[in-house]
Amino acid sequence: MPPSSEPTPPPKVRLPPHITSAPPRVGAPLTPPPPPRQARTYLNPGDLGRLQNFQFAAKLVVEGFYQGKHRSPYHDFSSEFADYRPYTPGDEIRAIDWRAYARTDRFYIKLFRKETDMSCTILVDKSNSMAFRGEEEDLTKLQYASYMAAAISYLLIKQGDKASLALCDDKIRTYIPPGGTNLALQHSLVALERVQPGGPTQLAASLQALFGIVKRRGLLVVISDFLDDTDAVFSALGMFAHRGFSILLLHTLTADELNLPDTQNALFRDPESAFTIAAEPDSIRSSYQDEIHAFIRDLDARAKARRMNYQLCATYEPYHKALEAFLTARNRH
Amino acid sequence: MLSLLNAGFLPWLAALSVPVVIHLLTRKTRRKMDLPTVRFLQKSLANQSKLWRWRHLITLLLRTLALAAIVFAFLKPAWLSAFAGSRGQRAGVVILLDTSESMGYSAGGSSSFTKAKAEAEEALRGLRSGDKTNIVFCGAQPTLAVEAPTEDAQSLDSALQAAQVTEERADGASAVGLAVDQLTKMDTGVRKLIIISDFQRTNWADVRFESVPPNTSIAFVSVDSGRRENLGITSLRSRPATPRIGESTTVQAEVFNSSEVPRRVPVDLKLSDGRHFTDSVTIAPYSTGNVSFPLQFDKAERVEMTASIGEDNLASDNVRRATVDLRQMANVVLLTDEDLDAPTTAAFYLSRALHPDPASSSGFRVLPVRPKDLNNPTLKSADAVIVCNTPGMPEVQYEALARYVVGGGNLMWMLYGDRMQEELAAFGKHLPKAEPLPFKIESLADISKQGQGYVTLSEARYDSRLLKAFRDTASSLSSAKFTRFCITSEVDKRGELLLKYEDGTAAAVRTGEGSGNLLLLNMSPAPGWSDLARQDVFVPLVHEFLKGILLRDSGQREANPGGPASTTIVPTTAAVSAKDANGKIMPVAADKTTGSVVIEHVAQSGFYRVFAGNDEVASIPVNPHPDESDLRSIDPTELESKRQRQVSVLQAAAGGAGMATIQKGLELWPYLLGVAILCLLLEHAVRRVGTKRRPA
Repeated sequence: MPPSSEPTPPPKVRLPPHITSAPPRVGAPLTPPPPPRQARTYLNPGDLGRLQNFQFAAKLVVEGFYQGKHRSPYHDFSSEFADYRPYTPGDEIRAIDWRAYARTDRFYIKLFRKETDMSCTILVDKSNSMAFRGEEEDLTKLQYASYMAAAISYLLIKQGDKASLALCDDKIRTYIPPGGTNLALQHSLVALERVQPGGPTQLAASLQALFGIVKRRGLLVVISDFLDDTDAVFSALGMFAHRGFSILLLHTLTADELNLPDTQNALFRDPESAFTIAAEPDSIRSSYQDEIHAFIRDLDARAKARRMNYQLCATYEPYHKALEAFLTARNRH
Repeated sequence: MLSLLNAGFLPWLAALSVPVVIHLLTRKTRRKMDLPTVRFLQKSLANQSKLWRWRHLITLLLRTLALAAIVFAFLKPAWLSAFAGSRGQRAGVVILLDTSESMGYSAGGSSSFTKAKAEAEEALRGLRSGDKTNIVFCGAQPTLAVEAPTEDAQSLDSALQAAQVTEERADGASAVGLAVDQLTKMDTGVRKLIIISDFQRTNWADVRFESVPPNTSIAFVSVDSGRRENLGITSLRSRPATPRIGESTTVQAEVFNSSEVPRRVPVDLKLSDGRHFTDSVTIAPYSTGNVSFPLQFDKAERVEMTASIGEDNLASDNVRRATVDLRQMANVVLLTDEDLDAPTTAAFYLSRALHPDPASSSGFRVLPVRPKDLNNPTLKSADAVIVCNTPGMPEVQYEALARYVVGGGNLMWMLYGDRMQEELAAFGKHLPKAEPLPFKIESLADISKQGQGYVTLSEARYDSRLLKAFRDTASSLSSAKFTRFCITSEVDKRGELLLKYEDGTAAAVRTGEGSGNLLLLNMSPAPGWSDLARQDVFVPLVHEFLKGILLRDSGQREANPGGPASTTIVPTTAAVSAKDANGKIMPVAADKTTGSVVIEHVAQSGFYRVFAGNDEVASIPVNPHPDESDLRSIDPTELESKRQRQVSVLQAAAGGAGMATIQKGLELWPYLLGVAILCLLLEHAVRRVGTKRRPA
């Protein structure tokens, strides 16, 4: 069939009922309205801690994150057109269907169907060491990790992916199988909401146990303080890498663990082993920082060597780093 | 020995407990805290050094030390030397004050002597009740302030105030001896000797302290202001010392440059006959330069000479005086049988050499005498006798000649003639057995037909006054050719071998015989013997030989302030008196028989005039000792090293600070404050090292 010399007219699309054809308002602005301010603030852990509802918190984190990026967290454009929905602040401008706007004087976003969905397993360390909270901080490491896991789970499911959750200390204590529905999300969020710290850190053993549970390869996100035998942990992670998992390590530490508390003289106790040691933080700080940074660099180097993603997430920092790292890992997968 | 000048603050030592108490109180009970990363803390602590772990104790120590230093500083501790002595004990103190000429050095408005007096006053102020003291004034003849050690500081202070710097040289050894004598008279347990001087090297380098009692503390207080520069005339003399009328004379002045830089110095010479000369000399650092004035004197009189240089910080050595007593021409008897007008004879050439220029005086009056005409009056009036070929001389004349020489005459014997051997032997028989001739004549040599036909003079003793003038023209002596001379035996060691021929034969030998001089010349100017008369050196050689044996009176002995001054006048029956440079009458001791006049003690420089009756018969120049012009000082540590067992204290004083430091000791509070500051800085550093505040 020879090419037509005339442009092909666009297909006629029946607008769904919820999209009305109300006449445009005179003087209506052509630019999308600004997003509500509150969502952005919930990237700060301190503010997040005041929220009771995990789902709401997760939503705010995610939307706040994407607010800064002026993108929608929910869809990408690699799928076939499925439906329209009203424009929300933060959506990609290019997703706006201008023909629909021309017809209706309202902004609508095209929805696409994903061709494939991804499965992400989130392992959260709930051992005693994760119960530690810095003196000047609002959240414990576990709480911080929980909010982070909740936000990631929320993002995954809203994007149409599947998320599973595992809570561990010296073994897997809770496992929520992968699910892509709101119900599955609810299960994960409730588990995170109710998690209590306890038990010694045996991350390597937990990873090995998890390896036996997770069948389908995908993205593995480990949220922990990694205060375990590093060789054993990376040996266990190696099994996942070998199976084709993309791995993201989110290393949570408090300010006190990074810089030592601001006190003259203290008797420090390991919450897991009860080992105590007396020290004057001011006079030992420099040397201690060298040690802890060496530990962090070691984890980072090992992760890079194994093509894993690593991100240090200090509990006083906003969640955007964690989410950036997650998205990077996700895109690589 | 430590002394606390502010002992009332001692109770403040209790403040040393403050840092300890604070340290104990601030050791808080440790907070108990959970920290999951304890293992990293453990690693950090394990990496620290033991010293670092103990640093809190180190800071406590440093704080306590700083506080202790501050408290001690308030106590005003002073480190007393052993010289400061123990309190409560009576001390015997001798202050030795240098009053020599160099102490008059004045720079910056204050002389060394003024500074020294201030130090001595400070030493007197430091005396305690019961201390016995005396002052030794160190000049040419050291003297005491008071007869015996006294507790009366007032009388000593009066004597000190009256003390003046002199033009004398310091006799350090005698002064120390006098001080030791005073110290031994003191029945005190503690003895101290305080030496206040500029420690001029020429005066003090050879002073010993072995005689100082073993339990005596010595303080060397130097008032040398450091770099002292001086120019001084150290010598003024005429050469010859007693010139004859018409004789060429050189007046030579020596100037010493006591400084570190070369100096060009103009020297003025004024003579009492009205003549005035000026010349300059460049002198290297710490060296002597000479300036010479060639003169001639035409009248037989006494001439006073005064040499001077420009003013400097030590004025007393800028002028020097000398006296020249001129004499008549020397009477020279030429004893010969030869014809004085025959040019083939030695006497012909000799007589013309003695008076080469008939138009002017040579300083010699030549009297030719035949041996048979020689008599005692002739010999008595002869200043010198030249014997030249006297074969027919009677035996008695040899005896007379021997007597003449032994009695103080000057005999120049030219060994020339066919019968020389017998002549000399005949003369030698009459000399004292203890003083025989220095050699014998063995034979007569005629080498005109041997070898080159002559010999020359090959060795000369140029350090002898008879040949000194030829030192720089040695080749002139070796130009003469000698064909005939005497072969002699080996010269006795009594003889002064002045000249030698190239074959080793003695050519000229001088010896002393009794009070006189005997000069044997194994040569002749006669044409058949040598060509000496044709050489330029002949006339000066004859003159120098004569002047050399005539020069027994080397002029007046130099007199210095602080000592005696003497001279010799023609014996007189008139009353002898003397006046000093200011016209003040001085006590003298005169010997009417010998004419010797002695002024016992001269205090100042200048011309001291001697009178016989109302006639001025002599003037004695008195000058500062030349060693006083060299202002280099000896480091008192060198003097201290000469004391092997005793304790001494060295101080370089200026304006009294030295004695004050000796007596009060070295105040330590500035050092203690320095220690305190250092401790605090160290404490701060120790606290900061390894400390890191938590970042905000």
